[in-house]
Amino acid sequence: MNGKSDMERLYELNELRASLFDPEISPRQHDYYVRLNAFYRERGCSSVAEATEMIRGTPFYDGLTKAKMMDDTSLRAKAMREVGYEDAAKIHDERLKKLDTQGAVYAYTQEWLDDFQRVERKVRAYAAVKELFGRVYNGYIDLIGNPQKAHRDAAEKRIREGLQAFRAKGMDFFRIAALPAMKRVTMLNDAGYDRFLAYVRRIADGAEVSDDDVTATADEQRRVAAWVRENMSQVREAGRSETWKRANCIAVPSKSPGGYDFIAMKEAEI
Amino acid sequence: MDMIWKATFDSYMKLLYDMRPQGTLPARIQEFEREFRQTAEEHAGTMDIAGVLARTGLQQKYNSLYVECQAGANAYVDFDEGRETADGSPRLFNAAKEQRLPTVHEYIDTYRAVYESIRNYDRPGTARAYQALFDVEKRTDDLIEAQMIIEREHLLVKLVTANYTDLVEEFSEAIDPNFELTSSGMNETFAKYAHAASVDEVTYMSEIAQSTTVDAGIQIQAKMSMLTNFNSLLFAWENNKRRIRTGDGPADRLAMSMVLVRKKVRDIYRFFSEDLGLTFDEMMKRPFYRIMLLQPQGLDGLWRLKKVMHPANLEAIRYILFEEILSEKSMEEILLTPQPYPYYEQIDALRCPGLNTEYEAIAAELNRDLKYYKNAGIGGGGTGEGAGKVSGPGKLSGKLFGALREKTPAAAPGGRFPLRALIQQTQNITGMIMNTGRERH
Repeated sequence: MNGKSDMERLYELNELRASLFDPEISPRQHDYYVRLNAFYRERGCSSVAEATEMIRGTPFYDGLTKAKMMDDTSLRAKAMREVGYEDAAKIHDERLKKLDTQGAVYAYTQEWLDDFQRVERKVRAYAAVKELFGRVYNGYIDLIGNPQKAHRDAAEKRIREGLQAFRAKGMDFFRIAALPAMKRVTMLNDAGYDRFLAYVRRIADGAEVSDDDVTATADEQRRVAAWVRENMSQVREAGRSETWKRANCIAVPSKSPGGYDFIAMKEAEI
Repeated sequence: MDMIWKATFDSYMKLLYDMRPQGTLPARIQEFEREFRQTAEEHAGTMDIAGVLARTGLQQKYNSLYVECQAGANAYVDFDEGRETADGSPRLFNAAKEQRLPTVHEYIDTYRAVYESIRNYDRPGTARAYQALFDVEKRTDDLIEAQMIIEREHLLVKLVTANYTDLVEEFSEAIDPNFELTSSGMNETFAKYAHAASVDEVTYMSEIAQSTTVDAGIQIQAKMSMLTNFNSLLFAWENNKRRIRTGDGPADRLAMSMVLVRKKVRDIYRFFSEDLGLTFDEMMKRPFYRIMLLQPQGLDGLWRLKKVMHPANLEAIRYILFEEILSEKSMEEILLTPQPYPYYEQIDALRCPGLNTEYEAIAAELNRDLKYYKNAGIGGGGTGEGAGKVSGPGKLSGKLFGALREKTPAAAPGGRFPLRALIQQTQNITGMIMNTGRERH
């Protein structure tokens, strides 16, 4: 082919394979092909058949499998570290060392299975903690935005139960909340996160917060109610020019700037 | 062992034993078989078999055994030169026995054997990807050239990513891309995998997704809570004001309610704008928030089409938020000032009992040709027509969307699709796809 010998083309193939393994993502597989070519050149390999035979009994024979498994494990460790699951990452680090020293044999041991299960337990535990944390956060959102007493009482109760659930796990909510992964879940900025934690702290310290808003608005409510009773005719007069109707339509996703087209509009009188 | 586990177990073990392993492989395969059996017993009733195999490391162990059975020095199957196998199945080349390099056909037969084991579970894109690989032998009979073509054209990576590309295409046309409740799961998982440059990248992304999908689920719940509260408050404000002005109800009590509502809107808007950095202008720039402020109700299983309030309400909301609730105006001034922008309430079932049915019929018609509904065998609207027609037992799409269909709330009278169920459903899909991704490499 193109006047090149099979061996020259084999070098090209290995170079191509090396280039397709990004050294940042799959460094060991990348290196495998780079070193394999160097090995062939060093040995003066003259044919593809010889090349196939030459690697028998050398680390190159099963080197690609090992490189693949090590790259895979290393990426899992990196991913766990990136999402803040440091202890899960450390288990993958240990797996990586075992692969390095034991080779692919490690993959056929009970230890391999146990190590995977250890990682799985860690990941599940993180998910469970995040979900519990999310329940407390949702309770906080309801306390901020729900005006109904029954809902606010329920939200406060949910927060108390959430804090208790953390204690039952032997964890302190506020220590968990200090983890960057937890703050990220809430989408809050620094000041907002501080306000959230301060609010939960009040509840943790025994304050009852669900009636705060009613208390804060009680005087204003009485004053406005009295004013409305005395000025009903003026208030109704102000509303005479207003249009009060009911309407619905169907939103269809579109490429329009607002993201939707609205069709099948229906209007009705109040 | 339950039936689904047994079917999986049998197909995995058959594939390994059919390669007639030799040397140390039989003992290791027996050990794998023991572990597989034990795991199957422990997870009886679990539908997410792929996820269990991935999480326990059994899938990776299986992959390694499979590769070793194919290519290991001590574990080749016989290859009868020039003779087709009785059942027409691919044959694996025995380099040690043959003492020669394989032909291109023999080389590609290795992949045919893999394809045979998964073809019943795969989607059209995967079939096309395998076909592109198989067609290499029609393009050259030179082994090195064949491998160059395979590498240059990324044909092996495409075997993995094709499935995701198919899913993205099918799922994204069936959802509303603006609607984060359904789109975020896909964006965190298979939309990323579909563009992976290598199988290792898919591994990395699926590991990251183990965390980000949990985060996204919690964030969706939080957004739902915030926006539900915000919408309820705005509605309460407008409804109370209208009733005071039209003499519909005890005006003093309605006014007291408005005072409390005003405080709560101020609280939640401060939370949006200061704590989350989400101002009203920012909301107006993002279709997701615009549509959420119109109190959407799903008209199909994935909420692509939604019954919403009049879009003019967005201007009314801006007015009541900034000119009334957040302003320094007194309640007296607010109640004496006519509202220039109408706020349309929803049409209730008493006034228009057939509206939901009518809208769902329109939705079903608009969704009719979408692949998602065709493959899932479910109607594209609230009528649930075609329910139960999953596309063939054993197919991945059938499993995926069959499970989806089970999770899809049945069209209730009036055809509503509860939002909470939608969230759960999209999380289930994401979970299944994540695990599918983890299984495949």
